[in-house]
Amino acid sequence: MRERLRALVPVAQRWLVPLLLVTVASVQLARVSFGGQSRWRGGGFGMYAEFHPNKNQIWLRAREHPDVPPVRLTETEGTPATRHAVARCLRLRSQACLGELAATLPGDPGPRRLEIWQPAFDARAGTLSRRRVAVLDF
Amino acid sequence: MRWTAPTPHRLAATAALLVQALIFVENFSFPWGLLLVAPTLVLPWTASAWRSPIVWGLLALVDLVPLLTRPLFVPNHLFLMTYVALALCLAGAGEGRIRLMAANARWILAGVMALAALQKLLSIDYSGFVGFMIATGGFAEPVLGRGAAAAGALADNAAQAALFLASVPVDVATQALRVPAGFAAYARGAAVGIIVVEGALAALALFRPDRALFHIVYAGFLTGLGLVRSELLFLSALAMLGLLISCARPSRWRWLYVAILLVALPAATSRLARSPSSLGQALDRAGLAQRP
Repeated sequence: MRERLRALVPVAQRWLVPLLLVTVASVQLARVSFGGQSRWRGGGFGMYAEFHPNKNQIWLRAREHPDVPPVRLTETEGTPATRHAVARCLRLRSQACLGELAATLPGDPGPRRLEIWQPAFDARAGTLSRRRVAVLDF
Repeated sequence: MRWTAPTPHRLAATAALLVQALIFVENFSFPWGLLLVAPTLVLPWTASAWRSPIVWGLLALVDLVPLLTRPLFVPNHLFLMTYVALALCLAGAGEGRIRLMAANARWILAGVMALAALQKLLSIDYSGFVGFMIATGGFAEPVLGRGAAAAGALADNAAQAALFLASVPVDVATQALRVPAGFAAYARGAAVGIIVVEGALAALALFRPDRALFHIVYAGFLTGLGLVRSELLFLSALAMLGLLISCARPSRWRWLYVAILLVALPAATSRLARSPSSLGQALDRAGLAQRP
């Protein structure tokens, strides 16, 4: 048994780190593709492949009062739990994350909607726009 | 008294320890970041512990704390440093240490560059993002921002973009930025160029790490990165990888990476001092903070 383990040492010395790097990056790529995670985060080395998560935005709307302007939630305002949840959702643009954020918001009698928006730039037309990437009605 | 150059072994360990210390400062809050710096910089030099697998194993374990507790908030160079610390731990203390260290550094660099290129190829927003960065002065500002007219256009675009992004989002709303004719082709060319360079570096690191071509392209990339986007700590970590690779064989290329580190590390320290890192917080408490 000890001999077998000893035989594994050179293999680990040579291949453990590359294997770990590929495993972490594969998980990150899967989370980017299926979980809305930002390419900038999580060990996938996807910096500068898309807009930085701090350019994403989270807006809270009152669904029964479309005339009332929505409120932008930021990482610097609200309770610590809300701030943390906002920071998470800017990096993990998913409905599940918005659910966690909704749970931290103070109660309100009316139905509300949380939205995550991210910027997009069309280099051909030279125009900046935003698109909604996740929505939660609660 | 005659100065003798440090052995490649010592040089590589010094660079790795310095980068590791700054990464602790960046990723641990006050006072933990600073408390970790002292043992990182001092202890490994007692009894030649800088080559000890236990020391590097402990550093890798400390790196794992922020990685596991807040993976969405830590920068990619913390992942990179963790891989390096683990590689230095696994390299052991024996004869083959330098060779194993370089081989692992080569694989880490190839992996980082290949992933960076792959992520850009997979991202639908990549080309537009590069265009936005160029149009608002985020990329290549030292080149594009030279003329007064160009600098004015970049500042205007940045202001317009900030104003637009601060407004309430509406599905069809767009904001036109001032871009010259043929801008899309220019942006696409820049986007493709970045992918080509990263792909070439991945291939060179994997197959030709001992060739002059690798070091020339890599040093050019690091210099370009420093000028175009001042990601100083990431730049330092990449330069450290270059140093680890070049230490495998007797070569003068290692001094090129030492030169890059001599510029990047003090600049990174200065930036950390002006940011909410543990160093910035300590200076803040001491009333010595200089906010930009």
